[in-house]
Amino acid sequence: MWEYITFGLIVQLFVNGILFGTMYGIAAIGLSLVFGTMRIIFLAQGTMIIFMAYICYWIFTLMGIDPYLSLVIIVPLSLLLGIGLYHILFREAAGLEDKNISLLIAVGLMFLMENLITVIWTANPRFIETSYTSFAFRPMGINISVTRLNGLIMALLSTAGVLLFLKKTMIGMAVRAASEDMISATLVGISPHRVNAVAFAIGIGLAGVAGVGLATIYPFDPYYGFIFALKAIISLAIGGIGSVVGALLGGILLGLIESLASFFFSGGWSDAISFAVFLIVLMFKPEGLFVRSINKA
Amino acid sequence: MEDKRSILISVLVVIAFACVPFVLDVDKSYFVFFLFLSFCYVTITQAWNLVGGYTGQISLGQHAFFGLGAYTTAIIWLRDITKTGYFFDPVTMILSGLVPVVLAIIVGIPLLHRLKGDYFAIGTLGVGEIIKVLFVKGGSFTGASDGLHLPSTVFESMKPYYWTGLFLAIFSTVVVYFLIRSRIGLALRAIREDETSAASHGVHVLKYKVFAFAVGAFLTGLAGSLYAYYLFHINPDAVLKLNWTLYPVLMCVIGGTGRIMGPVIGAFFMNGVFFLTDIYFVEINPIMAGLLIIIVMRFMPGGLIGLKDMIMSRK
Amino acid sequence: MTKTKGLKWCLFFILIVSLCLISFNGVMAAERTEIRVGAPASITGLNAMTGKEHRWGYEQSVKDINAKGGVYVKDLGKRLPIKLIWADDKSQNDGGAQAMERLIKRDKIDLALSSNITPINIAAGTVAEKYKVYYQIVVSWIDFIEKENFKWVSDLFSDTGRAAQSPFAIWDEQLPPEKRPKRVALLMEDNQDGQGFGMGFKAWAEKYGYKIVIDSPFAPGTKDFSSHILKYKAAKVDAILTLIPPTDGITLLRQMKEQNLKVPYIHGWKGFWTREFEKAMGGDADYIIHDGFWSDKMGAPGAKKLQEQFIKAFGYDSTSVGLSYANPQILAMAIERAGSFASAKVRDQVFGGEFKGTMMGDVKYNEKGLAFTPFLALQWWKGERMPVYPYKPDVWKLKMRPR
Repeated sequence: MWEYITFGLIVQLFVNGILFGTMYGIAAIGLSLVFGTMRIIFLAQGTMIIFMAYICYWIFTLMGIDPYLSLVIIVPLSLLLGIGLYHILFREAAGLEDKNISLLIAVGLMFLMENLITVIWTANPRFIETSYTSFAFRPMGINISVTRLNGLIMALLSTAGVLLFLKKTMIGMAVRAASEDMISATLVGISPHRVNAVAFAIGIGLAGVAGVGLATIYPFDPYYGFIFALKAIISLAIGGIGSVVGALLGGILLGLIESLASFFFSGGWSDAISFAVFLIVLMFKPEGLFVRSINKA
Repeated sequence: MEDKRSILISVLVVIAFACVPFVLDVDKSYFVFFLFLSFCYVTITQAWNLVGGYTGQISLGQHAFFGLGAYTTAIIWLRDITKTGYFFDPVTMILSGLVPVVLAIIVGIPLLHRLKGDYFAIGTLGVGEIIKVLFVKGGSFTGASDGLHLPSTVFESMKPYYWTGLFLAIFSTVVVYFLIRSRIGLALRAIREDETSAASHGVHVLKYKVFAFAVGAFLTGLAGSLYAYYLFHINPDAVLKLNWTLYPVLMCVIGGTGRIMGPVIGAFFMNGVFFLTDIYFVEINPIMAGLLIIIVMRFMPGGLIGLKDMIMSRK
Repeated sequence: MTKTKGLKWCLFFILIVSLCLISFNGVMAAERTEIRVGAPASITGLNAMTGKEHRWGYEQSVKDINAKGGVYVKDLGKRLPIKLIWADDKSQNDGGAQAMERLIKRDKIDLALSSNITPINIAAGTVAEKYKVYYQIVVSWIDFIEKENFKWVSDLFSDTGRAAQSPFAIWDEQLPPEKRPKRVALLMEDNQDGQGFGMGFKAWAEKYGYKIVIDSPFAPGTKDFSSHILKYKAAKVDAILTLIPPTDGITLLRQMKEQNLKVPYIHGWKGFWTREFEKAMGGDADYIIHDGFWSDKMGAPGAKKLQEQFIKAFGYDSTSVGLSYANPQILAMAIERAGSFASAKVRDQVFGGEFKGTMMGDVKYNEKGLAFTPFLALQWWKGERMPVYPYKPDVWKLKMRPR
């Protein structure tokens, strides 16, 4: 591929990679919050994102509400869903020493949701087609897809929102304290269930945001979610488990790696390359690439 | 006293299982097939139990060992490497266990040295996925996506499968049982409880962790080899799928982690659930299976084996 | 204490499971009132979408056969209805084997029809072979099935070699030399079908004298094609041949639009035939060529009605259901000719047999039990599917997208 390289092409590769990686990043932030307090990797996050994408699809096709506008409905809905799920499924398990229990509940939830989606919406691909789908800005010959740009904006806004929440509100600070040390946090009177539920709800809330982002960019089917969850886990590990900005940056970095790898190498290798990069990061900087910058911030 | 009794019961159960082919027609009974598959699951779940349950190192790379075991069998057979008959040949099967051991040592040393807890889990997951890509991209050596085709005409009856499966299930259970009762097991559990304190008491942490990881890989590879004999068409989607990691974790935790009978109960129970939901809820079988997993974990966090503890404590 | 209790529990659970399984291990009635035909199918998992259409085809066909009173079995001297029994292969390759075990051992089937994915059918066929149950496959590459040397398995489909010929044949047949593509790109899903197909394309391109400039596969599960698209742009590609799943097919075309890439000829297998694709693309679907195994315009008896029924059930039209529908038809004919539903006898009728007037037209199996049916190529035009291969000059001529 080297013979085709031009400056514009490199810029385009980077733009594509960043815009693509944002989707991983936004999924990873949710994972990061849930991991922070409950110490589990919430494997069902990808499936929750897809579920929200379907809800978005429903709101769009049945009520004709613009997908971005539907965030007003979807975010509160997913927050509620998060609180509900936490109290019904994870409340007991979260308190246990053995984190595998919570992990497996998540796996069970994933099995269940995937098939439930198939039953409700069938396995045929679903998509949202609006006037701005596939529209792109073309400044200086660089193509920037408008739905992907919106995805980036949504990711940045939600990262900022989550950070503000964690730093400026009482409950947010409690969540942050609990992420650092749950036992001490409990000793100073923070209820573990409350912080867990809040963190989990925000995690699912972010799945709602990601679902809308995904539904506007991609067509999707019920089995789309698991791959997303895997990629989000990698992003999380690259960026630093338990850090919000790190998760977003990790996702973007992963998107870049994939974009470059599938350009310069045959496409089939891109997965192996991103896993290899991720293993190298794990080996040499297991706390993640972007963690220090967070602690400073 | 208690020990003697439980050993006696175990021996009786094993003899009962070994006699099943004399009672049921192995080639006509679906139940025997269910048992065969359950034995495979017991083997890999027990292997995971040693690493994840007793040593506390959650490995999500079991599918790599399983697939490697299956592929080793196929490659040795098709390339006529050992000249030992191949079909249910002990040499081939043992080699299929040893190749994953080599991988386990190569990746285990850096991973177990550098990574702890969840990082180790995700790291092993990454290794598994890389191995899968290597097999898909392996050209004619691994048969790429199409995989390798073994001559299925050698099949005569399910009987050797059944007994070999039973043997592997018992073998892995016995291996794990004696390992955890030995000094090694003591060290492994010390590592699980507190690595730093184990190290300060003179336990060579890395050595023991890699050892457990390698034994787990060996047992998993054996099961992979048996499955290769069953399937005949070895391809990445069948033997390197993530289920070969997800299922042992699921079965182990459902049964009871870090208990010798946990994997046995878990494997039979979950496999039974999969079989029954498949028959009675064809359209929605994953919903039912998912629901059951959630219910068991929600109300019996100690696994099924913990069920009796709960009942005992209520009395 | 703990150990014995644990064992008791263990025994208890084994007992429950055994009771469940033994008691439902299938009891056969003394007198036969039906022909039990089993079929593995992708009821859940990635392939559930085409699996559902495939199942519908079988069910409709069996319904129609039974409505006529069933199949006449000479040995019993009466007509028997076909009972279709499903087993879920979970869209997984080895799931086919497990589904087949269940059908043979629990449901005690007499004969079996296939799922619709090649490796799944190979796994299921291997099991059928073990127990000598006749397994009649459709929708699996015959070159792959041939390699297995099955004795109890037949297959009706195309092969990767000949299927990969169609784009080059189309260009040579329907385009003047100056308009033929000069720089071809391959975009193959990195799985069995994709790798096999890719090799076929390369072989035919060489034979026909076309140049493949980019051959970059993508890992199954890839959701972003922007890097591939950039390559095509840089290499000034004028034709893309691709094997891509339906959902990702929409993604690919959307991204091409975002990246402002127009390619005169795009031919997709597996991905572009769905009505969802056409709806999602709107007018942009025009010019794009997709695959199909069947068309109601091929003039098979009952084809129009079948298409209507399909549209009624699914809300869109099908380019494949005829093949699924034909499979039970052929099986029923073979049973009637054999006068029995014993696997060996039915198989002997199919191997080397010819079946006229099926939903796939006249089907002829060779001595190895393989039957070839050509792959169709259809071009989207204003929501209609126009035939471009085999070439029908009076109906439609290939249109190339203007740059």
